[in-house]
Amino acid sequence: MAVAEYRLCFTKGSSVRFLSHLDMAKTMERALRRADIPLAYSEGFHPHPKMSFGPALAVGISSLEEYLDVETVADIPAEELQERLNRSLPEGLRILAAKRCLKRPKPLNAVINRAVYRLTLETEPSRRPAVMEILEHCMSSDRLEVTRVNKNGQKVVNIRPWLHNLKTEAFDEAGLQVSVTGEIGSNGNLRPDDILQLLPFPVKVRNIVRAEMWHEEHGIVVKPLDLC
Amino acid sequence: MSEWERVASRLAEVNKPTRYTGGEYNTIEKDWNAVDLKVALAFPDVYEIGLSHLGLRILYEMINGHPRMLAERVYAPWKDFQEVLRSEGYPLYALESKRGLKDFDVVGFSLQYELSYSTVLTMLDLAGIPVRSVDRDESDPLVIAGGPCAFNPEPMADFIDLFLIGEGEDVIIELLETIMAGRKQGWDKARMMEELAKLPGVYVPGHFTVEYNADGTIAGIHSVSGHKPVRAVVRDFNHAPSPKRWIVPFMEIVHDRVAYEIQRGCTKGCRFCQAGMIYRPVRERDPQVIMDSLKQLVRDTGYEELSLTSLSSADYSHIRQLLEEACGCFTPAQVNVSLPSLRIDSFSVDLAKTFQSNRKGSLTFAPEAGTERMRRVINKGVTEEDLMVASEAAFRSGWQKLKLYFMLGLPTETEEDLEGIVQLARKVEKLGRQVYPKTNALRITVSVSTFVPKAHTPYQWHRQISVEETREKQRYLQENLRSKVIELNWHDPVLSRMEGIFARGDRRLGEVIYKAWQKGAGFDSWADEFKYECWNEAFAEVGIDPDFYLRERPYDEILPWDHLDSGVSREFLKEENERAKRGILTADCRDNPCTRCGVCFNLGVGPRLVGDGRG
Repeated sequence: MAVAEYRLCFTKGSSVRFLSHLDMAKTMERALRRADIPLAYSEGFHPHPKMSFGPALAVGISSLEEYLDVETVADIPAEELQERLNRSLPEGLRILAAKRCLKRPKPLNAVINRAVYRLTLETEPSRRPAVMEILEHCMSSDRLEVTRVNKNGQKVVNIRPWLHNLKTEAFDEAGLQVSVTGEIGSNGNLRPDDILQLLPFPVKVRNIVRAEMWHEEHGIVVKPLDLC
Repeated sequence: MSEWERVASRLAEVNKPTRYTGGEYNTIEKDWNAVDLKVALAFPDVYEIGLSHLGLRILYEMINGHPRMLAERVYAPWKDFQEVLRSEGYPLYALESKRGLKDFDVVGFSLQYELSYSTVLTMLDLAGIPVRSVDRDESDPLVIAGGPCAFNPEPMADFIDLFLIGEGEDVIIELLETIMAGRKQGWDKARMMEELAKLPGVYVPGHFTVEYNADGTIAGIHSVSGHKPVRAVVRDFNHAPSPKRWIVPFMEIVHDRVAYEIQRGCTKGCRFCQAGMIYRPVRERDPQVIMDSLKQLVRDTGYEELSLTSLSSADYSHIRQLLEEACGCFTPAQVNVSLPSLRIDSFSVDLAKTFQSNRKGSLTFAPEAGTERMRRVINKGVTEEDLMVASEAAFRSGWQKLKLYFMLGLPTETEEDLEGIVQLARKVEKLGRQVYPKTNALRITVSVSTFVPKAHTPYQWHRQISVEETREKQRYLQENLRSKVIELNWHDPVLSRMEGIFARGDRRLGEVIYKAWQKGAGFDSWADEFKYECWNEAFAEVGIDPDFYLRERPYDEILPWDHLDSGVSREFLKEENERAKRGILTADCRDNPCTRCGVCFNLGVGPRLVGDGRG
């Protein structure tokens, strides 16, 4: 019987950015066991630990803010859980905060509907102003069409309803940082590389980081740790 | 961006990128400036197979445990990532430091199966190391190799500077310390090889010359240095090193669990089995040593499954007590305990019941042959009744899926023996239907492989059946095993043929490997990657008839591996081959008198069974 539930906020560093969602689940599960956290398990022939992650992150993208809910069969102070788990995690994964939930929280995937991505791009210096202008202009467009490829073929989608904010900032000679706030979850998904399709010429992507996630409704922002 | 980061930035393009990133929990990253000797441990197949192999894990931890050495790992990159490395101009690197293999002092390959040979060349080449031993100079790493294939390493003699024959943990540190000392003394490669050849288990192919008769057979093998390589053996297996910092991968690997070796060696004496000959004698670990290690491993890995491995775990003296203790200790913590192999008896089914509370999976039995006569010939003294009793016990205990393993082309095999496979399968099917008259889930998988005679076994002189003969036998089984319940599968006979050629090949095959590799061979054990035409062209160009290596050989012919001593005497192998022909069983020395295989006397080692005072 689960007696306590915790919400964890963690980073997925560059060195582990290629872990798939499934790899991440296994890695966390094993780390929790190494840390001797008494996990609650489901019933049945194949008991699995009661843990659930927030929105999946595409392979190759690191993150400053990921979330995980986990249930235990013993009540442990959240700080102790965090400390023990951090000692058992492989390099690149780090628990930033742990909170013992006051009540049974709504699932992470049901509440998180915004994600911020930071893309570090490289362009030819001469093209940079144009790139910046095209991207900045997105916010005042009505439609933004991109092509998505899945196993059923190609599909043109309008990502404009999912784009909530976009800012660009130049650095170095050729560098450009783009911050995009997009919809995530059941109402639609903005993918960080969607916006690259809006450019008339290819740019080099140095890296993409998911920087933040939250719940937003009627302009009010609530962080996942404040929803449990 | 560092050089490697440039490569990493392209990892999203390839399949299973965590094969190439390193950083798994429990890996060891030592400071390059603080050590004198760097070793790259290489496995010539993909990550998920290579990391599943216990042997390299043992060596990795032993070498890294030495204050002046470090070891890192490298596996064969799949073709997509080979392309990335080539296009970025980055060498094949070890996972820990991301340094190219050329930066290491020693590159050590584990040769577990013959069909990985061409991949060794691929890896050396990707690392910018000349594939042929003679083309490497003092600036290149020493390229060494071990594993079961080292018992007949002749086909790889052109590419490997030095082979370690036998149990590597016995000699690896001494070998590396000698290399370290030699480096300090400024020995050149020739001098180094001379010194290393004196160590137990070391075989330097360059120190031997081979002469051939006009008919292609070997006229003589001469030792230039005078040394005769003898297999290395672990004398105190109870205290022999076993991995404590068990690496936990990010991605799913083939054997995704903690594996702990409860014993080394098997003396059942199956005459076709190379492992049963080259890992003698039986050496069991104490139950207490095992339990202590298991607890530590489970605690430090977080793994949800652990396996008590060995060649025949059900034979371990106290297996029931051990299994019960392990299950009692780990099952409450949601850690599954398993045994890799079962004997064909109700005792084994009982064991399986202990650890498999979920019987949705399958149980595997290996009768190996279809008739009692044939099983006596191969010294697998299992009767039909044994199989029926074990199968019934399995069905009655709740298993609905059984797997039966057989071999085709065993010595003296006749049509009757093939028919025997059909009949056995049918009888097991009937039994299953009696226990489960109504279910659709009943499944008998009949798995047949082609018998490949191996070096240092009683069948080393025996002929291997041809691809056509194999296909004919497979067809016979296919026609006679039609059933909703029975599923038949088999090994690709062409791959078995290739395996057989190299298993008993000589060093003239080096040129064939080189040519086939140049034509694009690699990952030969992957049916989709295997390029038969490359090999056939290579044989033709070199002027070698591959069937030469598959034929029966007379006792007086010099075999390509005759200069390598496995500890098991040639006389014993010959005697066993003769007894096979007459269908006489040879008892297991575990609980019977010594069979005089010679290994204990020749290697100065003895069997060790827990609690019998012989330890």
